[in-house]
Amino acid sequence: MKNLDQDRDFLDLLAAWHENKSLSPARKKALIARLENDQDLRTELAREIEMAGLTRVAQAGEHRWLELEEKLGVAKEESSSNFESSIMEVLPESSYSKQSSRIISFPRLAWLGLAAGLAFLFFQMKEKNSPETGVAQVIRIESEEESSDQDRILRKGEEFTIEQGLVEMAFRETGVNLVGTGPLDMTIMGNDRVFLKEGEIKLVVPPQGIGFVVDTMERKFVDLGTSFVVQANEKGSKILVLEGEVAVGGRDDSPSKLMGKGSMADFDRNGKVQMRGEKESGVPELSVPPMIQTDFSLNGKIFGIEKGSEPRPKGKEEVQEITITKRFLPLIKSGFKNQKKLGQFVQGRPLRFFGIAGSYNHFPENVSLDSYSTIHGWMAWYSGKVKAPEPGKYRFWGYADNNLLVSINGKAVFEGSRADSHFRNDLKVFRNNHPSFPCLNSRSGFARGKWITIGDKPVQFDLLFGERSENLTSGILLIEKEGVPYDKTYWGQPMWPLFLTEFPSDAQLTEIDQLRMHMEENIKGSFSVSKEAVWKATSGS
Amino acid sequence: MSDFDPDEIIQEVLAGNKDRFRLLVREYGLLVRGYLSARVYHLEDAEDLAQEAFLTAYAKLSTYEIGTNFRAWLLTIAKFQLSNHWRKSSRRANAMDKFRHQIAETIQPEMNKASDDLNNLKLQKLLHCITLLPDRTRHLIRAGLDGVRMEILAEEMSLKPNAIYQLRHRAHLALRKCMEKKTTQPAS
Repeated sequence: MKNLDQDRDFLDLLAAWHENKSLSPARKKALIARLENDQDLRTELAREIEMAGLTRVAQAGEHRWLELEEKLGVAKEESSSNFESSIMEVLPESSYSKQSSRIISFPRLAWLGLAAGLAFLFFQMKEKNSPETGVAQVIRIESEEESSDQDRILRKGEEFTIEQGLVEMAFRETGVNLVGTGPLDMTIMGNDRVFLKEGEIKLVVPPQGIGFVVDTMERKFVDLGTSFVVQANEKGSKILVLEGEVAVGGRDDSPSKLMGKGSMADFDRNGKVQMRGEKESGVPELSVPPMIQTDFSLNGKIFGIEKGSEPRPKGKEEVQEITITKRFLPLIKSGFKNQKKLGQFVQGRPLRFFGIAGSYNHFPENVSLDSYSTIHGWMAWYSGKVKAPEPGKYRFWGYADNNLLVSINGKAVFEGSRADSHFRNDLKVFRNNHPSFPCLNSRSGFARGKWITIGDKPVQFDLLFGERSENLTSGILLIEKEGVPYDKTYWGQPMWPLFLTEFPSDAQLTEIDQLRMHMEENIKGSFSVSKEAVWKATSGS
Repeated sequence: MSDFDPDEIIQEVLAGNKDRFRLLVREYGLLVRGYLSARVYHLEDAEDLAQEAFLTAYAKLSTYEIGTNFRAWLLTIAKFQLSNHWRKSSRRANAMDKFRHQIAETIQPEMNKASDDLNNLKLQKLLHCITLLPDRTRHLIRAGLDGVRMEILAEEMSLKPNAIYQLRHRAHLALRKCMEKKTTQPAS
């Protein structure tokens, strides 16, 4: 058998299989041809895919198959987990029979609620009957070596360590389920609190356990009814929220920040925080590519109001008055000629346009818009000459939370901002909302502008995109050409292409594809990327 | 050798002791979930299909011929669930889904062989073998499960994306080796 781990075809096939790596049709054809002719490659790829599937499920833990549970009724035999069995064992036989016949007819949520109640009852009864007064119990240990920790009762203040392997424990009063992997070093602080010094723990917190706290050296993580993973080591700690929400605060009870499903954050010992894959809006954020401007790129600038230069607004109404959005109205109204006031803003590094697509929560910091006042928002302005791929009628589709405006030859032709935007309310650019075409996080769907006729000469193009206040920003901008038969999603939405001034790199395409998949899976919206739809920039601004 | 006898359990289930079906789920759960997870992009879909497979097996248990191969019978049901899933999802399949199907079709015999090579004893060792991997490699294996994308992981680990696939491939080779061993020893 050949060693294939240096084989580019093998690695590309894996990337396509696991990560949707975007490949050209010619490359795909070549890969399939090689697969068809290379027995070793087929065998190794099959083994690799098989093993990847196994490792995924092996680590995902036991899945709760509620339909199957309902079909089989409540577990009471050796086949159920230790935890379930132990609950059933302490219940009187008569009450078990009654309960089980009721449980089967319950809706799933009620079943879960009852199961949590039974667990609570079990611990209460066991508490009374047993001299042990611990707060948690080890219910599973998987280790290379024999362990005496199986069924160990853990008391408040007790330290628990394992060198390697896996431990599962249940907290008696709260019903919290904790799975830890070694090397693990943690201290049970009480019924509703653990201190994690080292290792990784995953917690599943039932309703009665809401408020459960995980402390690390850097942060305090307070559960708000959820499932999450915390890792800690000598460098810092990390959290990944799998379900629900977690409040993350300092150890000194400083104000906490809410993190939602899919959010991930790193906290190092020096207090530096890095949020990754944060999904406040549920929309992925594309990485920012190098911003080196060329004569053939559409270039731009990003503006903010200097931190501390103006008093902090009180309340939403005042934010609306002082936001940077409002300060761009004179520029737009002057056909992008009146640039006098731009000097008052702080700027980040020069921008290069790569389309508007996805979340932009970290865009200002990624393009070095330092020391700007987040409460006043930010604004990116791209400007330059662009040439349509061919003469004809075009119209823009898109939406941004908060602000998006496109102007051609000094005239605003598309506005796709949020309902409370100054762009929307003060400029009154023609716009039509399409709720049936789902768009990122917009309930009113895609907005579209009027058809505009473009000739064969370059046009002056100006685009404003930004945030009114704080940093929960997202947007998308697509372009439609009259008469082009775009592919449609099965729910009937044409997959208009992203508005681009240069075709993305392979890495960018991969990320864009992830965003498209997110839209398709979560909101049934979609779009495409097409070389034929690229409007080439003819000179940078 | 495992002394697990599915036929004995099946006869008990058919005689009315439906709780005993859980033993079959426990014994073959990882096999079926792993089989489906290897062939379906989203883990949640694989889990749903695995449940469907066991629900179907439970409903059709009386049609299973005692004395034949229960494992193969169960996998046939899982395969049926999988082809149903592909048929249903093909309407909204994008170009990459289609390419993935094309790959799957091309290597189907090899994938069947790869899953046939896995017996339950080996599967039971898997979790243990994962714990024996070096930290960095284990992190890599876990990251896929946690939904961390390869580009992000590559950046985090200061590696190129292709190097991540190489590392993961080597980790899988080590796991296979560990699972083959009669007694489990460090995988690498």
